[in-house]
Amino acid sequence: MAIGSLLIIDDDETDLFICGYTIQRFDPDIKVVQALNGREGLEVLRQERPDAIILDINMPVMNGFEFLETYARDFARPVDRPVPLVVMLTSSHLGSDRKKALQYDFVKSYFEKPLTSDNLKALADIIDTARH
Amino acid sequence: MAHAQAMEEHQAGRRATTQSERRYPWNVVRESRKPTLGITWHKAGLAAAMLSILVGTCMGSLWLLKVGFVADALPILFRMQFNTAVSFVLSGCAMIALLTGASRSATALSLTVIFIGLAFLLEPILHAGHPLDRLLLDPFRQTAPYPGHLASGTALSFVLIGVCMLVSAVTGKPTLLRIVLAATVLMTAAATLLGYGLQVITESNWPRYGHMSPHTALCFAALALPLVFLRVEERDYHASTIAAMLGAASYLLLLGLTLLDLQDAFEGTGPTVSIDPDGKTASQPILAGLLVVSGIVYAFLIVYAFRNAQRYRSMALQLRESQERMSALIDTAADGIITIDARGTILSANHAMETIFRYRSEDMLGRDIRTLIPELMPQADKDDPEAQIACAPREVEGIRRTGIRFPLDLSVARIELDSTVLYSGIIRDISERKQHEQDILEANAELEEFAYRTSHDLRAPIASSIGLTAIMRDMIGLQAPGTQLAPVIERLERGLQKLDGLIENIIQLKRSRLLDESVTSIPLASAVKETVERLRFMDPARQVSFVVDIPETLIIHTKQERLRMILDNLISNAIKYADPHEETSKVAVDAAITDDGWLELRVSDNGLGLEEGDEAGLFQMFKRFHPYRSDGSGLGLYIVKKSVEHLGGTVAYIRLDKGSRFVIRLPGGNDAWPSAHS
Repeated sequence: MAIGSLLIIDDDETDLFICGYTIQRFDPDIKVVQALNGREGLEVLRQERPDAIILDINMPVMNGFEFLETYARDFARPVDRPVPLVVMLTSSHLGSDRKKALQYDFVKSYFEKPLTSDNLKALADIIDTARH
Repeated sequence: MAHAQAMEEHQAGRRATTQSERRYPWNVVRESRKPTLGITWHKAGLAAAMLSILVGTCMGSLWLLKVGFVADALPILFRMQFNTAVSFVLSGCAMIALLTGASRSATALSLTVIFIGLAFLLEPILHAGHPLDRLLLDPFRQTAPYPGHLASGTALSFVLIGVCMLVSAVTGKPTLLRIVLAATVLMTAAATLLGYGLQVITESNWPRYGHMSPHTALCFAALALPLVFLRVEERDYHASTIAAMLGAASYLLLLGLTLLDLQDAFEGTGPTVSIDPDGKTASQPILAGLLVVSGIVYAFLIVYAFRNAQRYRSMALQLRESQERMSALIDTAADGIITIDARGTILSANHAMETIFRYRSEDMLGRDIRTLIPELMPQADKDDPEAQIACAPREVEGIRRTGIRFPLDLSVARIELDSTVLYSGIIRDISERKQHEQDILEANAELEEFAYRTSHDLRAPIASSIGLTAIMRDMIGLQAPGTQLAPVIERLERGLQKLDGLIENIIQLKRSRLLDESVTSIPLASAVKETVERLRFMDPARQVSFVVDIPETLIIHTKQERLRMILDNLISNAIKYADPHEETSKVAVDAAITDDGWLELRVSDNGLGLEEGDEAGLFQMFKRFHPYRSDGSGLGLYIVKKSVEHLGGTVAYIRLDKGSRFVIRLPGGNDAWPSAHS
């Protein structure tokens, strides 16, 4: 099944452009919402419900890890219905960052920048698996 | 004269010693005892016992065998009665028993000896008819007024020797009673022997103590000697002192007896005075002999005193030299060295202590060590304070005269002197080392943080560039027009420029750390104006109004390059983060010297300011708060903070109603070194 909508949280405008272009080339029907940092991302999530969140780590105001902490506390409670899953998209190679992010059960994968169509295929599979 | 001089030397030497001991008590070594001496006296005791038994047995045999020709040839031998011989055999056995640890036998034997002695001693008082005199043997010769009877001096000596051995056997340790009694016997025997000696020299009769035969006296002297000196060190008496006292006492005794004799002769009543055929009293030649002996002894004493004085002088000199060497060593030591008494009062302090604690040496003496090192002494309420003062090297806190606390390494050793206990402490100021350790830890943490952040921030533009080139290839494959490609190339360019800026900042940061600059005098007003002129047109799109309110006369002493980095970053931030909704951007720089002598430099703007809650990360590496306004690296304020800290100052952010203010405080005019840290 195709991806319906995605929220991209990244402070770098060029990275947002690359994501937007790559997603559009992958599947023009995917609805893309952008946020420039964790705080904006949380605001978007209060109104919209994307299939998945693509999250950067290194951002001003509220970084990726701070976002994950708040998201886990405020959104991903077990009593709630299934929440949008998260995939990381970052320039960090560090194993410690990968480990720290993947300890949340709603974080499903860890991609390195730049985003590619292969990453999006993998994301589509992850979303499919989560639905079943 | 020479003696008096020697005494003076001696006392002077003592004064010198006590004085220097007070100042430098380090080289006081406790005199070690010689345990071999006790063993020697033990052997001497056994030998004396053997001698006593041998003489007793020989004499007993002679009496028993009734060898008449010996008695004719050497009548003096038979002055020792048979009973005396028996008593000597018993005493010798008692002595051996005592020395071999058979205290019960020793007690029994010495009691027997005492009994015999007492029996003969009390006979003249009791008038019992001399039952003991002929009990064992009927003497074949009469050698004394009462044959077989012990002379009272001999009997008394046996009693005393017996008591000595009894006391030793019962107590098992040297007692004063034993020493005194044995010394009495020894003196009597020695005086008798001396008398016999004089008799031989002067060829006259030794009148008074002729009743005790020379071999009897010899045996008594032999028995008494070990009883005086055996294990005498355990009572802290010096054997040589006792020997000297004994010698003097024997001599005085002899002299006294002679004088008594002489007096009796003059009065003509002495019962024992014998008149020589020449008509002279026997005491005269003895007195003459004593005079010669006294003269010889006195001459020896003078020579001895002189030699002693010389030895003492050279020892005092050596001691002084050794102390001077020691004190020179202690005073040139880099570590602080002190001595304190058990209550913590400082008795001595070396030069390094002055440097470390900033007190003068005289001011430290007599002071409680706790005012310098509070942890050195245990708390007053602890039970056993002495046990806890001495310690292996440990780290504690010291207080300088200025009240500043600093870390130090301390080790304390206990010095036991004869009369008191001291403690010597070695102190090393490790504040510098600690500071370096701290610096290294900080640098390390920073380096780790830096490595972590660069893995993000240096890679991010490269990852973007890879993505953008992939997009361009895709667009070219799709034959997209140039108008679509141009913005992508523009993005690529901007990304690379950003990377370049970041690298430039990193280089600046590293340079600021390594920069080895000296302090110079800088007119602050012109330094600020120069920076403002350089940055004025940084953002050509905006008009910025600058207000610089710094007195032209304000000269600060600091490091120029670091000051420039601080001013550059603060002023360019004020320009970069201007509020686009404001009509004109305003940047104000003012400075003044505060009451405490510090320089306060303020850079204020009416720009975007900072959202509440963001202050915490303001001065951290790679923190950015206005991502849409500018492509900052996130290093600017970090560089400011590091530079200010290097100059020993502080930086603070103040939120204004509109905009931001940064306040830099640099330490008092002349001091740009980070001394305020310690």
